[in-house]
Amino acid sequence: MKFKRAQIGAVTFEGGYHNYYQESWRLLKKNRIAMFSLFVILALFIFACFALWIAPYDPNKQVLANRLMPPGPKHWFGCDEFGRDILSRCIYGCRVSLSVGLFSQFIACLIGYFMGVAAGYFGKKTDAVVSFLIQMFSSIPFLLLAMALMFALGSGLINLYISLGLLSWAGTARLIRGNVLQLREREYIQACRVDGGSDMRIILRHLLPNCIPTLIITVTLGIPEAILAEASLSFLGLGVQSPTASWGSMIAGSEAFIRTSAFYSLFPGLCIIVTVMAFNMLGDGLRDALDPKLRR
Amino acid sequence: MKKYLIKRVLLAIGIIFALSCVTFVILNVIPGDPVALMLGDNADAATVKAVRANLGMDKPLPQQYLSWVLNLLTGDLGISFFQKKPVLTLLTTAFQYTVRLATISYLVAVVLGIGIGIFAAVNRGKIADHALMALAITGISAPSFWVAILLQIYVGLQFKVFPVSGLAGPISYILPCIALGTRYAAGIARITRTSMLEILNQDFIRTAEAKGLSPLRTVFIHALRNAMLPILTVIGTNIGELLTGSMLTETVFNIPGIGKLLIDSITKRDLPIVQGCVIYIAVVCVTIYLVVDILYAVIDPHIRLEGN
Amino acid sequence: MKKVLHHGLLRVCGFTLAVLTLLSGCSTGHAAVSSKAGSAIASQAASAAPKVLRFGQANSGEPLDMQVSTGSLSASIADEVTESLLRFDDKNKEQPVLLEEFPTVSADGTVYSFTLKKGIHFTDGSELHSSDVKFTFERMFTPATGAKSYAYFNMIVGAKAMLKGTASELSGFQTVDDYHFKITLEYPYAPFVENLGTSYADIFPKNACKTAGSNWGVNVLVGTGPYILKSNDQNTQAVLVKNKNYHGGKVNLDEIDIIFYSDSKTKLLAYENGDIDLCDLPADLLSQYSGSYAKQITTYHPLGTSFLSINLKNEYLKNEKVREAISLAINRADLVKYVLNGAGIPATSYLNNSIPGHDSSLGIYEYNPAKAKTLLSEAGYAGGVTIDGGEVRQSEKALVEAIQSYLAEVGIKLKFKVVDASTWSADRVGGKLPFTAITWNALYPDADFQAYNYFYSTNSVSKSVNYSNSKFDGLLDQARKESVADKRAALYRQADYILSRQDYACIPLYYPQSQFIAKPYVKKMAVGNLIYHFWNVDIDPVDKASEKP
Repeated sequence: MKFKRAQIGAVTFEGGYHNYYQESWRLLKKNRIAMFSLFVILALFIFACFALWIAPYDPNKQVLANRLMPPGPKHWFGCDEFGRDILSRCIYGCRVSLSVGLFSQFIACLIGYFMGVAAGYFGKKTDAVVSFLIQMFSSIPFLLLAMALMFALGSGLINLYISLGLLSWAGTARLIRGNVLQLREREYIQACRVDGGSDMRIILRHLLPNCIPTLIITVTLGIPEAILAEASLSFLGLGVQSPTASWGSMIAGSEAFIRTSAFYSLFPGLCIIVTVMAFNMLGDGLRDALDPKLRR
Repeated sequence: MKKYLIKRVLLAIGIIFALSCVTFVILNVIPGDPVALMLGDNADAATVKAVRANLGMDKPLPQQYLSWVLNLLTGDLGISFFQKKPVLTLLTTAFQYTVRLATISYLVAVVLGIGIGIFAAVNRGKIADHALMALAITGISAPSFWVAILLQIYVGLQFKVFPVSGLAGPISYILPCIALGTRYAAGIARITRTSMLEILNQDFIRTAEAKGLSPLRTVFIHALRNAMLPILTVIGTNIGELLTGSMLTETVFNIPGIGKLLIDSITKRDLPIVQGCVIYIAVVCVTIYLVVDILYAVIDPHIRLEGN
Repeated sequence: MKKVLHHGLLRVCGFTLAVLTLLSGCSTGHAAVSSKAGSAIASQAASAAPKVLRFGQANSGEPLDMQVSTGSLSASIADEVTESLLRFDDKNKEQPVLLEEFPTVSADGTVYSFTLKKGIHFTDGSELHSSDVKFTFERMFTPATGAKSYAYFNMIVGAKAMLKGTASELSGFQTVDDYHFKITLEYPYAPFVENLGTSYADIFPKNACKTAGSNWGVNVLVGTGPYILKSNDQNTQAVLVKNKNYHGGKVNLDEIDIIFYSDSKTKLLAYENGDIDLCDLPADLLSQYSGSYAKQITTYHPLGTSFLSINLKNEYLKNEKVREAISLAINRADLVKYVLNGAGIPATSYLNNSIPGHDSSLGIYEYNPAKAKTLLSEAGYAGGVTIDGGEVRQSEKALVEAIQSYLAEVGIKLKFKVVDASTWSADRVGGKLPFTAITWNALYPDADFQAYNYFYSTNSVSKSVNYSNSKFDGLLDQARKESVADKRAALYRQADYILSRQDYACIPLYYPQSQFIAKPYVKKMAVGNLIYHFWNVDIDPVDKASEKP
């Protein structure tokens, strides 16, 4: 599901890069919600990185006798239908969700940037082709194509990164194209062109810095969407490979037991909500902090 | 204007054909075979071959695609591999369910979303603003299928009033509409708030306030009109999404709309249906983008259509 | 902080539970009161009301023409409308339906003679004649029909020529008169009469079927059965109404609504909500309902076996010791108890325990991880072995995940992907799957289907098994020609032992138990094997009226 949010335009650094980011950081620090979200996200990253030491049990260790054991002192979140510790699986699931969010958005950002720049900078036929592609990619239901790609590539983490990345570049490309259209007319870019600066140099040295705020925001707000998409795909059985724990596949597994063991569905669901919320709020904070228009 | 429209329609047709071509290739490349599935667990290679020939799947791919396009030009979307019914009939039936569900959920979402958004913007920084926005952000952060399942069990079964599946009477719309609508309401509320805040900060609103116009008038007539552009974009893309069927919500609530049709047929590799659905969805999306672009021009005369 | 959260949650859970019990207590109490007070009035009102059974099942998404469709979901609707010459009842006993008696067979076992009952009419008014039977089989073998299960009947003389398109008439079918006909087979084939009792041999009326053309089974289906197909949108529901002139006597129900639910959890929720009266209850949901709904659940045992199907061409699995080690590493009793919620019987050999030829003297497969490890090191894999590339459908995911963990204990790392049914079917037919899990159900209690269709050397290729043992094949060939039941059973007992106790060509896990859940007013419902049949089921109007407060 894509909620297109108002995005900021291309940024000009009147007081230099340094000042701009310092000012942004100062604004972000003042935003308590965003800082809290940042803290939550950092905590989640620690969970993901050090899952091996933090998780109390092996997430894939089955103890059939503990089947659907409710939360208790030994297993804080209870056990699933195979007697696996739900807390440990939630912690390991964090790895899947965060890595899917990060890597897929990195891929999307890379494709989106170059597509957008190509369209905005070269214009004419390139623009026509890229705009056509952007429209085409926005006209297919995201989940359908994601399913088709997962069928084609097979389930697995890397395939999730690839397919979600390949499908979510269109929004970024559209924004970057807009940014570049504004920037192209600026004097210093024109001057650089007249001076005979190569296109690649202009794209990387001059256009990229001005587009970075846009990219930061699209990536931050793209991550929660990717996490939700992963959950949906895992729910449909097209996500990570068994027995890897992922929040989406845990919800799918819990559905059969939701009547008598509500806790099993509750914890992975809450994990998704907390993570997605944190990224959404941080994204909002970043947008407020990075958007010069709101600085008055 | 006329020239622009013609250009856009041609572009739309181009997109639709490109899409159909891409889906055709993808569907034929991905693993899985509808015939092997059709034959059940007792499938054997010889029968698979015979049935493929019977369905015309033994011909070269370009030839299959060409005959599909030629049929499409005469309005024939083909026959479903599994159901043996014309795809057009299946699509029309499914469409009715999806449209009904989409319209109701979206009406709720728009009214609720814009209302909450304005209220929060006007009360920027106050508790009500924070509370509503926290609610909204929870709304878009929860996986929709999870919300749907919880609604079924903790609302549907508890009160025994709402059917937990299907779309039989008016009352059966309530749960799926909540599951679908709140999510969109949350999105609209957030975007409304942001764009209202931007407008309320601008000089002409301050002038209006200074001139002593009533706050209500300022908010609804001046600010909302100007804040409408981004809201409209969101609404436009959302409607596209809703009309193309929400696959997971429809599946969980057992609503035989476009989304469920699509998910069923792609898992079965029922190519004619998937192709038909993609064409249908592309037509809906492209039309809506066009309408939104035209509305842009109506609301904000600064935007000239040619500039896009 | 975690502790606090945890306690809070417990309290919320506890509260929800309390509310739940309160609510359910209230509603049952209410029903009990009203049932006593209102039963007199109810019984009067009920006798006039039409008896409608609402049955929930997944949408097969296929036509009701059982020559074209293969699934039991289509069959459970189609079998109420169209009938075959014979059929299997709720106890899996075959009975003549359209025939006066069982067909007689010639001494060499190749010519069968049939006598149709006189005066049976299709619901379009035409009388059933030998020509309709002939038409049915000829339609099946005409390539344009796209029939899928012709392999059960293509030993009829002339069938292969028709399938190739070189003949338009079935030479092995000889019409004697309107009520008598003979069918000649190429070779003696003992289970032929059993095959005639399956849904795939449903008899169609010649004229109506021809007129309907491609609509046959889609919008039109006419048969001799107890119910008439009123509507089928293949999307939300199919409606059957009573055939008032049914040749088999009075039909109990006025109407059967088959309502489609693609998701079994939703279906069960709808059952709880009172939207449907009857549906199947899959094993994974059994624990959710076995408590409060125990009285409404009926269990039955289909004629199948669930097993780990392994490819004997795989680098590691071709080693007999590795296969035996796999079998030794699995605790079947626990598997059934915990993963299946007890819905199954631990396997003792490949053949299902209700099928003639099953050896009931064998015990459950031994569970002995230590011995498994020894066998592995004997096979040269003391350091463990990784078997990669298996594919499993969503329905078997939980089972194979549990097996994965058992095998890990002895050093066998099983790696598999969960794939959708289309991918799985295509890859399996290709013969390349290293391993998968499947429940193989016989259509009727005869070992031929279970053994021959899966493990006979030529058939096992498209099952991704590639088993080839000439002794096993020889026993099956011999059994197919043997018409004396005891002798056949003995041959299958031998074959079964070679397959699953000697060669370990598959790893049998359990014989599944299935169950359905039905409201108390649904009477005489029974399921024999896989297909739901409503031939005997009835609704008690008094009970039903008292059910509604």
